[in-house]
Amino acid sequence: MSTAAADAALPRPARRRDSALRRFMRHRLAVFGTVVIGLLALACAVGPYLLPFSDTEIDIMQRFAPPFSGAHLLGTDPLGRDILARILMAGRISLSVGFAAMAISMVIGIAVGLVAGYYGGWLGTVLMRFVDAMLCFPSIFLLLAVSSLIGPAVGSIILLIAVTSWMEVARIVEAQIRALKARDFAVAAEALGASDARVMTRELLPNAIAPIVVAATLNVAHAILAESYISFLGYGIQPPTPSWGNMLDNAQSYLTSAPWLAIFPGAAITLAVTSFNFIGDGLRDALDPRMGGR
Amino acid sequence: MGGYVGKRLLQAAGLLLIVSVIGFAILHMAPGGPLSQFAAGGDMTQEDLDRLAEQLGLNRPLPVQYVDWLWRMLRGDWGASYRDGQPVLSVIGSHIGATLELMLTSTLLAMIIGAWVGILGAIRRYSLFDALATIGAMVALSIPTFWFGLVVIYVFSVGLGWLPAGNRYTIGDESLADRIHHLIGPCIVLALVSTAVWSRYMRSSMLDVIHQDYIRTARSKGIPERRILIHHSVRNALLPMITITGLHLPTLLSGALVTETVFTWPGMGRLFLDSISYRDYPVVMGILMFTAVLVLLGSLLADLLYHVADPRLGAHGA
Repeated sequence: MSTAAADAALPRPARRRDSALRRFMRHRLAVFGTVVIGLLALACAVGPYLLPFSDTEIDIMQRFAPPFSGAHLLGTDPLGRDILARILMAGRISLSVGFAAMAISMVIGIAVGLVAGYYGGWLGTVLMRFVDAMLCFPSIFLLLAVSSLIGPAVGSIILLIAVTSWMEVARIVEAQIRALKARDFAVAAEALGASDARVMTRELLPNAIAPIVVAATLNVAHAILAESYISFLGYGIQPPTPSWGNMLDNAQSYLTSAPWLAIFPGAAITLAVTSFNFIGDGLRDALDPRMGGR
Repeated sequence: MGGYVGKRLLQAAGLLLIVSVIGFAILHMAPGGPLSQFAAGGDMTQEDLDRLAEQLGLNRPLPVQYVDWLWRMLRGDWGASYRDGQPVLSVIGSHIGATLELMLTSTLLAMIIGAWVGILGAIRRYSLFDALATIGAMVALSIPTFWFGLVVIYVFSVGLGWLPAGNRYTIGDESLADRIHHLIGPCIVLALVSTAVWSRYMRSSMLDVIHQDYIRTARSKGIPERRILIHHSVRNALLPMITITGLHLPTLLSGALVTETVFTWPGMGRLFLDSISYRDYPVVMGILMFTAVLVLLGSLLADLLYHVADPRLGAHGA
């Protein structure tokens, strides 16, 4: 439906993106975050092919090799496996889990928020009270309780993180849709006989895209952190598949003798999560200056 | 005011009901449901399990079971631990003290530092301090709590030998000094995220306040800047922090679980993890429900306190 009313209400995508991009580039930390994530993703994607060691290669003669000293740049673990190779392979898992969990949580959150915001009434009330109730459970407790009940496959960990992190998105989308549906362009679209689904997905959702994109970025950060927490505690990604979290699982026992086991994977998590948070912050300023709140 | 309290209490009760439905649903996701303990043991035949299910009323329709379960929860009968047969509520009761001690002290620490950082950042907006505080808070929110815990142990326990690496006290020495000595590490670790949250919200709350008309009025009346800051700005800027403290409770509880694990702190979080590894589902479910109720009551209390503290809200309710 390309009615004049709807078209006029939609912002010009090209110009808006242009100026938003410029605003984003001015946000130096966000640019820094983007560069770091780009490099990290690239390193995890191609790095393992360039290293002389594989992440599963056990070399008992070389166990506990300290970093920056021999053939192993970041040292080796208790089995003599190369830490750098493991961090890069773990990065593939952790970053993929982060993105996949974010995507699923966005789908759930957007769907719930759309329906609740558009229809309102008792349906909206029930949905949003359900969101409130879910948010009463501290996330780690909920993640661990459910993870002990399901299999520890990568797929189920992704689903688990997603079903425990869609609520904030639902709240954001619901508030946006509730405000937008009273606007002229939405009312006009409805008056022209557009179906509910069409009004929701073609008219309302595109206009709420800015906060959704910001929430998505922050959700990646949240998902990477969540994966690291449950893997560190032993209920996430299971060895031998490495993830940044489970690389730290045994690190505490070797804190005195081999602190590098703890330092590098933790630094990788912090770097990735900080970068996504910086990007989210930059996007917030760039896409919608009013949302900044300061 | 009275109307608002009533409305808010009613809302909380409704929310509690939904929370209980979610808890009940998770309980029934357990392999073998509430009978998992016996099913996992392997020394009971399927017939025995069926008979037990009938005795415990597990073959009744789910809604009936739910009402029965809810009624028992409300009466304080939360089941018994598989491990030692103790009632779940008393198991939680014997661990909650350590968790509260950790949460309260770290919240206090976070409030003091966070408020200072936030106030200074707002007064000297866009200064170097403000920029560093902003970046610092963002990084603090991104550091995995368990990793920060490991770093603190590595630096202050392994390296410098200043702090004990774990536990709540030295066995045989339970003096106050010893307890405080053990509390410092986990307290700092748990306070990191809270401090970041507090400083961010305090900064924006302070910025809201110092641009209000009454601050300009106070200034034009010639009230000294220091007095304006303390009596007019900070006091008003602190008000919304009551709400933030309530909202922050779930994050704080999650952080406490992780901190307790790293520092072998004998609180509810460690109990939860231990119970999971023993597949002690009654305790796992009990703690899950307990924390949810705690969060619910915390936010209710914060809301009510905010209304008591801010007379401007009293008249028109919400």
